[in-house]
Amino acid sequence: MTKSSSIVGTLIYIHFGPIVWALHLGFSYALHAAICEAGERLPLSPTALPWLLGAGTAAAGLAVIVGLLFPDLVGTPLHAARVGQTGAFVTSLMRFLALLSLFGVGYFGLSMLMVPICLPLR
Amino acid sequence: MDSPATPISPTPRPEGEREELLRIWSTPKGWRVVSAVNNTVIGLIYIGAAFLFFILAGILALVMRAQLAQGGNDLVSQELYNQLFTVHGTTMMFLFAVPAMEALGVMLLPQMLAARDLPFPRLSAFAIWAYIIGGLVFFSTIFYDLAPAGGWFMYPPLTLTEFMPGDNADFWLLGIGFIEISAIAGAVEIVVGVLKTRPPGMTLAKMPIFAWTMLIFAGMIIFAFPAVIFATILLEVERAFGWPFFTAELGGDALLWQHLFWFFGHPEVYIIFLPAAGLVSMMIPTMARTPLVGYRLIVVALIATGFFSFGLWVHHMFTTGIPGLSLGFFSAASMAVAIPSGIQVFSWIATMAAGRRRIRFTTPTLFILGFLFIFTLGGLTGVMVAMVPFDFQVHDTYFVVAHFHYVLVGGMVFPLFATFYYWAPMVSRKLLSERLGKWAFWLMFIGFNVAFFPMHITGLAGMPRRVWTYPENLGWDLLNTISTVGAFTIAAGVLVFIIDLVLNFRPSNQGAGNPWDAGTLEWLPSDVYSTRSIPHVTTRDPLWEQPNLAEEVEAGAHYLPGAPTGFRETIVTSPIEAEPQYVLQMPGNGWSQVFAAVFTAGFFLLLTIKAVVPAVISGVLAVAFCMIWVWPLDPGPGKGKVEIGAGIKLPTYFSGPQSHGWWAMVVLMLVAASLYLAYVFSYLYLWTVSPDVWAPTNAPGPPDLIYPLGTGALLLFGAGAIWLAGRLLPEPGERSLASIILLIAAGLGLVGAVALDAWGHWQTGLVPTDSAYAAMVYTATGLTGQVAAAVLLMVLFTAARLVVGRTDRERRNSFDHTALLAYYCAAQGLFGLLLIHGFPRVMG
Repeated sequence: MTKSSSIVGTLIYIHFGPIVWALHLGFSYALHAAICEAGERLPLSPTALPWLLGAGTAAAGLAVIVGLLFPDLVGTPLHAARVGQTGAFVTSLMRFLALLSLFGVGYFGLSMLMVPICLPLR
Repeated sequence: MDSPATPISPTPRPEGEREELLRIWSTPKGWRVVSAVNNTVIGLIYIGAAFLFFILAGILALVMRAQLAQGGNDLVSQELYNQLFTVHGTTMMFLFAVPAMEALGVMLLPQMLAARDLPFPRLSAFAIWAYIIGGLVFFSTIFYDLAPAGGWFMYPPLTLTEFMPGDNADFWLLGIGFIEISAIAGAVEIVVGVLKTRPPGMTLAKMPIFAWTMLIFAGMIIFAFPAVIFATILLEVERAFGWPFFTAELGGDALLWQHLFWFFGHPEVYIIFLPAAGLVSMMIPTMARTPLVGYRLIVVALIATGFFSFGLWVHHMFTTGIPGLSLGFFSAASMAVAIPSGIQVFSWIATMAAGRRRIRFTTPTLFILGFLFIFTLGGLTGVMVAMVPFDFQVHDTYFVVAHFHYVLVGGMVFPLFATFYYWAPMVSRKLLSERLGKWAFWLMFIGFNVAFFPMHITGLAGMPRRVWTYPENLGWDLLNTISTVGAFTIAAGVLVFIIDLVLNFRPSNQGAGNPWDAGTLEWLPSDVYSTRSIPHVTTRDPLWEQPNLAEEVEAGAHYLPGAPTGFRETIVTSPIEAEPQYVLQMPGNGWSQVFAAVFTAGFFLLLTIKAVVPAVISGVLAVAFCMIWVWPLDPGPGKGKVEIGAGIKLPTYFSGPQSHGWWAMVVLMLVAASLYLAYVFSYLYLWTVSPDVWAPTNAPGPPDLIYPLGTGALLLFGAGAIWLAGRLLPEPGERSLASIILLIAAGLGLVGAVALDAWGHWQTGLVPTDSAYAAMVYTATGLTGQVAAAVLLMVLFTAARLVVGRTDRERRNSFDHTALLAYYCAAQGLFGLLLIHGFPRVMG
């Protein structure tokens, strides 16, 4: 560990994948709910929704893959603990969690290919 | 793994060290034990209280099962039955499950981390007494027809005053809201304790799994509990003052409650399960006599479960008319969360298989195997109800009752009983009986499955939950009778356990040694002061891999000789690598935290019965005792540096971002931010779902820009003034009038900002009872107002310390914590201005 390692940066680094997953969930759910429920007050129509959600899913998936393959890109700016035994441990946690998150983003994103947009199931 | 450690070059142990430690850490005798703060004492009281609530809620369950044993039964009335299932669920979830886990954290963590205590012992004691008093009063409502009857989730509109008049629902809202605050106080303690009081050498990679789970548990409480606290505030304000957050015709929405409640409620399941899983991960290696297989993967699984659990709340709302695509999202997430749980189950099985010698079939092992069987079945039915079409069929039936009891009892109660048997020798000079333990296990295991497995079938046969009786000709009678027999069999098992406790549990500071030959630090020789010296740790299972560690620690060959400051103390280490940073002086036994808890409970409970004046008096007294409690807690650097062993000299005082108090403030601000985030969600949610009445067509528009601009200026003034006050803090021994004036001006500026904002809205004719929009606008002001009020109190407190010379440029923790909260208050206020004044203008 270098002297400048930050616990906050390390925690964010470990949680990189789940944070992307959460942002993707928040973006998808909020956008979908807003457009379907209050579409007439927004400049977007439901027909744009699959494209927006698809783009969001692709961006989230790509971000996680980049984090998985190039952890330095995430860890260095965050001053995460990344050297020595603890650094290796922290990076392995980050990678495993990113992998799970990638699965979560993909599974979540699959829904839009299978379910009609804005169909209320009452 | 690192190679085993050699003993730290010992600092000469002071003369009469042991006697001095025993004197400093002594526990008050007799009734004065209430004033104790030591974790092994209050931890036991905490666990005892949680277990008492388990018994009480269990008795309510037996009454319900007796009522349901036959169709058409009239043992209890419908109204009483409604109260029974509400108090049963509420007590089990809020007064037993979460507190039991928090109690284990308070008791076990310092021992596992070889700390002398957690960093805020009085905060723990405050949380515990607040919980015990609040919990007992809440539970007692069942005896005088004042208990809530809206189910443990208290859905509006059923719980609005119109449909549920009287004080019953208020006891839930104020009582439980208050107890959640106590849980948050415990979470602050646990986060700072795990990250800052580990023994030297215990890096993140070497932390016991239970410490990981408690860290995640506390983190989840910090982000989940504010949502339900905010929901209870909204519902109580609607019931008490008529602000229509949940009334549809005025722009409110009953589903807002469900969103907020389940954003808390689903993570709550994992808040309960994860620490239990952590306990299992600690016990299995001991019983299998081999290190845990897949430590790293288990940590991943714990973090993933905790994090992903926040994305599942909508699966409790599948049948509320949510768009199909959203159902698809949350169905996918609900199935995905099974993966990390599966990782843990396979790691446990692999550990059992990995031992060179046969696993020991002790009572804890039996309870763990029972847990694996029951929890896995609950997980499988969880995947079933995660599928939307299936959930539509079984929603609100006994299938769901069976599912969540398999998850919660399997996932938490069985590991808890394993814990009782496994860790009892740590605090009792006698082990619990293996023979009685096995009886208890088999009765509980068989009873549980007899009670709850038939409920799957009852549910599939169409029996709805929360019915007080049912017609006799529907084919449900036999299944219900079997379930009732099973419930009483479980009770027999619990009774055997209680008999075992009475016969064999004998509290003792020294415990019964290390009877299981376990590898973790809680089994080091200890006394009331914990271990004689604080060990240097180099492995995950130090007692297995560092030969002679126990003898070295007991001989005083490791860190922290004696009590160099003359008070209770422990070593604070860095959060990642656990390098020693400073010696933390901790407060000893005292009454202020007890009275603070009593009067805080009094405030909430008196408010519930609308005794406003006594409630206010009680609230003022609570604040006064909090002030008395914290007044001596910023001792300053007067004692200089002390030697802790191995030639290391540490300061006895620390301020700034590395100090434990700073961390606690940051955690508290995260709680406040979570609360505000719940508000922002609610504001935008109501705008989304009620386009016709948000804002109502005849509602006044936002105030003139002069009001938000003036409010913003005051907020910035408050933050600026406190920053400047910090620059002007006096040197030790001196006074600074400018600093005092600036401090008070900062507090007044922040409170004034909030008042100006509210006045601006009032000037437009916006009345909070007119619409949900208006109520939401004033709620933003209220939320920032309560932070500003807290800042004002802290400002006055710090100013008083400045006046008497107890705060200065070096002795500055009180000031720093006040400044942190003031900056947060200003930031939240500015964000609120953008939302409340900006959003309506942007959206027209």
